[in-house]
Amino acid sequence: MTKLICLGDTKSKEVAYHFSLAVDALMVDLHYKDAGMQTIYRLFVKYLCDEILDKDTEDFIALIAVPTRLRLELRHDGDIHGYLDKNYFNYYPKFKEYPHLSYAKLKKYNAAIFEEKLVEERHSYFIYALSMVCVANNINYIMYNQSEPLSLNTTAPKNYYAPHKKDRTLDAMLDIEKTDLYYAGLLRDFYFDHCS
Amino acid sequence: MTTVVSIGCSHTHGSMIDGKNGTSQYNKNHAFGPQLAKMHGWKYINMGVPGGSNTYIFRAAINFLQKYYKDNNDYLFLIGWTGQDRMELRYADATRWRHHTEGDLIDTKYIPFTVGTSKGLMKTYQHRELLDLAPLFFDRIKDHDEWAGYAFGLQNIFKQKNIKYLMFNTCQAIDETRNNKNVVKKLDTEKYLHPLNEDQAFVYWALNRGFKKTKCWHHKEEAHIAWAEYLNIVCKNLDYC
Repeated sequence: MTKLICLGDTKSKEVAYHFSLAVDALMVDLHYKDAGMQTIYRLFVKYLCDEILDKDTEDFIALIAVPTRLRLELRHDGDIHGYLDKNYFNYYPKFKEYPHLSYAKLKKYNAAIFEEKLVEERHSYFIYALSMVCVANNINYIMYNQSEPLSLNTTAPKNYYAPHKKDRTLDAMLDIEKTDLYYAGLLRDFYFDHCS
Repeated sequence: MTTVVSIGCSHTHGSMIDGKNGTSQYNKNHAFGPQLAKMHGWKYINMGVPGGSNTYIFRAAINFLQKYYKDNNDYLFLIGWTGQDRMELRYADATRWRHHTEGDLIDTKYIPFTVGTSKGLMKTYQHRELLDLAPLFFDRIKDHDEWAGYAFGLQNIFKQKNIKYLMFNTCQAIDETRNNKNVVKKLDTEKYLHPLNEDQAFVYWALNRGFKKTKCWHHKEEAHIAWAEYLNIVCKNLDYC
């Protein structure tokens, strides 16, 4: 049976579930709390190397909910905890769940940490790398925006649903009372038309 | 004609080749990348940046492929991975600040940011103060997980685009972690030379062959020529030249 590798913030898990039913695939849940693109790239490469390469017997699709640019992946010291390594966390401008109080000091420097072009370019090259790794390993994939459109400076791969449209992000759809099921249907149609 | 595109930190840039400067035109034109190119009469682009991080290397390689790469040209990428505890920040476009460096195709708005960066190199108080918090950004496991992921990603991109490349370490080896061990296993060690062996990183490789380092752990031109000769042998074995 085809496996659907689901990546993104945990808030996109419901869409992933409905999409997995729509494409008749078994969901592999790699969602991570507050995931940024660094998290998604890290976990995808890890899963690819752990579970996919050297196995020709299964089909895989990657469903990637691209999160906001305003995330910086950090890790607090400690032993690796679980497959996803729960010592990783994403720092963002309104972040409050500090694993250690010293991280609170970063807030004063958010302007430097999240400089506009720095985060835009980081977002862009992780999207490019992720799409190229999928292509190089013959993995079908689909990307969509969870909360904000891509910058117009960012070139989106062809398997990216509505990359620059503000009203086609998951959050924008939920705001106008469309459901996760409805959004998964849009992704399914796009997937069969453009990606598979 | 082949173009050698070398990307890395100060060791790739050629810092201190002239015996006095971290960055200079002379240094960037006499580092191992240009030396290898000159052996064959090839062109070269040296994107080594003093203080450059593995994040910089990943970004710069992708940036080159997206903005400067031409399908009909022949390239040889030299990726000189650097050590952990490094990242990058950026001065806003609206400001006049830049981080001066002589490398090719460098966006000088970017600031190399490491645990050991001198505050004097930072142009704003925010970036200077942030240096005090630098240890919060770095974690050994995170740094090595990222490094393995970057190398694996570039390996896939180069392979997909049928681009010739060599990767090597310049000053530190990758640590295997429980997270990255299978990623490391999938690195193509014909083209990523000794990813786990620190003795085979440029700095230690040259020290073990009797080349003297400077006080700030950089090598002079003779070591760069020797490293280029070593890379040239690898290139011949891979039918790159």
